[in-house]
Amino acid sequence: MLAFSGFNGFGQFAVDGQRSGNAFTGISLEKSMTGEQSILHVAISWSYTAYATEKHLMLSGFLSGTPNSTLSLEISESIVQLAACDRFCLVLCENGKLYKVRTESDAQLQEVKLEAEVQALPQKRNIFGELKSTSAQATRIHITHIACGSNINVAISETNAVYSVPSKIHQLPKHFRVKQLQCGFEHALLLSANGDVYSWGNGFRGQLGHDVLRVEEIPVLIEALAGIKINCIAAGGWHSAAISAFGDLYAWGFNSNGQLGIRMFKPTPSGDFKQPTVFTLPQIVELSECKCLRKKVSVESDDTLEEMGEECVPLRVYAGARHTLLQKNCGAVYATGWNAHGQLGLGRKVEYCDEFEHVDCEENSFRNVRVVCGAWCTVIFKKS
Amino acid sequence: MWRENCGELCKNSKQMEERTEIYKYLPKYKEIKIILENEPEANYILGLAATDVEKANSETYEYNEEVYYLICSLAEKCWERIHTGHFSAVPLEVRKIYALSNYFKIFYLFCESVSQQQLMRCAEVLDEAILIGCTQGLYEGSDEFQSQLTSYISKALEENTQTPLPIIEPLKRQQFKCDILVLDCPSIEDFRTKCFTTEHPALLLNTIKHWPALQKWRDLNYIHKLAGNRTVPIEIGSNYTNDEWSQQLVKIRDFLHRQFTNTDNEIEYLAQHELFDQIPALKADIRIPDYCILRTKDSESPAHVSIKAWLGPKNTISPLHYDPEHNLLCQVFGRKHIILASPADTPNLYAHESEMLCNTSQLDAAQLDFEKFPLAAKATFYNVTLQAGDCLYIPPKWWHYVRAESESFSVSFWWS
Repeated sequence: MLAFSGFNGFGQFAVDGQRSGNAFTGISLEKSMTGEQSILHVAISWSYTAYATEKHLMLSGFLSGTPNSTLSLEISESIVQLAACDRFCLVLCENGKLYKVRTESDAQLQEVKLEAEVQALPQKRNIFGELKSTSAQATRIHITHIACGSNINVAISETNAVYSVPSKIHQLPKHFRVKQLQCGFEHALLLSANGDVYSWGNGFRGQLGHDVLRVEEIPVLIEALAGIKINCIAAGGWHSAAISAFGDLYAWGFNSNGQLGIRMFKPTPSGDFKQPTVFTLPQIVELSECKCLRKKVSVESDDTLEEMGEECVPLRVYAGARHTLLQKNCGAVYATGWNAHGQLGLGRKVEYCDEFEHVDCEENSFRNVRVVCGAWCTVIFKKS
Repeated sequence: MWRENCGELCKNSKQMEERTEIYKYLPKYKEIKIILENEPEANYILGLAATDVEKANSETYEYNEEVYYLICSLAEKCWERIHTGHFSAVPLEVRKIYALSNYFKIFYLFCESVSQQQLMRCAEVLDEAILIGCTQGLYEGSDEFQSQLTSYISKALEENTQTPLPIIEPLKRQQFKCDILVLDCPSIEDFRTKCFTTEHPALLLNTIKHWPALQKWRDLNYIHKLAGNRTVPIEIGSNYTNDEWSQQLVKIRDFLHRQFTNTDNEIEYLAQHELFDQIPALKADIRIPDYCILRTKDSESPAHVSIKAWLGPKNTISPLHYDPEHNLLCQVFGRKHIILASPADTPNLYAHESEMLCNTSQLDAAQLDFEKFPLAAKATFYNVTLQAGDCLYIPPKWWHYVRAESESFSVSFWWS
């Protein structure tokens, strides 16, 4: 299963003549492209989409100046991650090597060389004072995480070096374990295995979650979330979101189109009152009662106790340029933010939503589904 | 009945003709190709639109909805790019492409409908192109496109009845004490030796008497007629160092009604805006003073003169600050009180420490607090009252505080 909703101006979802969709529409990829393998990774830029099976990469959309184009590449290593930048797609392989593929219909895989770490090891001398030959300095860099935005491309290595591709900008401590890396247009978010969130990049719309609006050159711990174990993060265009182990959803940054799930106007007796557009600190987002099937059943039967055992709580969060999707443990999916292109998948035409709306579909088919937000669209897929 | 119908039809076809005239000034693909060299998506979309517009002359033309959608998407994408990173770091091509997609968007908006509401939307889209995008040197017909379009829109919206705006009563000229040199229409040479090279501020009388603006602009309906539908940046709050101060893009029409027909509203100030590049029809009412041809260095090339408008109600305040360029502040209507201080007194004037406000003093020049700012007692302050028809020469780096004593419209000329 593979479906999209939203902007399709360049035929990047290979659905003929459909420039945008308000509801999730199935994407059929040619079998010749995918073989019989299922899609494991999807990454979406404004004008093309990248799909990968284990050893096969496919770009679809605007390539070499032409819409509705495709490119298919066989790759010898297993693909572990994709990042779709505007002019090229980054491909991370299991061997830790990073490649890029330009958005051209005859493009080839090119290895991205990261600047070698300047190793200031003390030089060793033998007992006669002669320099000892040090072992080969050029240790190979093994990349484990990548993410890209408009003005920022980030990679993190096995040794916890943080790169603004291709330069190293920071070294995280040895014991640090990276759980998740995300990029907005111009900021990056990093989640550590013990639940801390770090941010860096441009923070002028509050997207870094620090109380001062400025540029941070290197990862800085988000103090406001310190002490709260975070399980999942998402970076949108100019906004950010996180889910805590308690199932609380936090959002901060730019709320121009309701992408934080926070009301843009507050109704008062004397008319609607404009709320702030920028939230510099993480806000707990209020969610209305879950609309999933499980709840409905429990309401209809008298025996509610058993059903109450497991509460519906946010599990994963995803973000596009100006929209946010939320997946709960019950399988229900919610969306908020900009919907001019139908990127929320609600099945109806509204310009925006400024609170999380239930994405209507059969929960069972949404269980274990994977969600990827493009800038102006959303893709859901499941291993077949 | 029949006659009326015919009239309506004739009017419609005349309007249609006028619109076709506007479309002529949209760019041909070959005129904008160079801007699109490194932007394949824009190249593709604007190429489609330029081709589509060429067909618009034909009787059977129906606009291409898909191209319309792509043009809107391109404008939206450029908007995101322009708002990502520091504004000064945004490549000029992106702002040009944004302007071009807005131009074509206007074409499609017209195809869709020519209702009053749609025309107002077109005026907004044009101003977004000018204010957020870059329309300078875009392509040959760009200026003509703007002027044809704006005159069409203002003509079509003219019948719009609205409460009339006031005509500002001229203030009787008064004698005020003036702490600086006063010159009556000095020759350029006089101005050069007495003010420009010696960097002395001076009040210049009778140098802008010939400006049509002096008579025309007091009638706010005139400004409304020429520019009512245009969007401009407005400063809200009496003074830009306040925390409550903010900037907003508003329509001139709404600004004029809020500030000149009703006095209860919070003070809004159309300040430091290059209004005359945006609305050339207003520029015809003023003249660049001859003094602006003077150069500090012996550079041959004529320096750029940037012309800014300052329009607001009584009591707008620009706190004590300085600018790096020569400045001629010309008063069109109303009266302003100005307090000047020499750059030599800078150490006594308590400039703000932050990078953004380092050219601005923490002092309230109108009410000096010597307890809080003792050094200010050492500084010399010069008081000047600027009346309609007067110009004030402010040399570079001279501190100045400005408060409007009545409704006021000033034009400033900055050059170096």
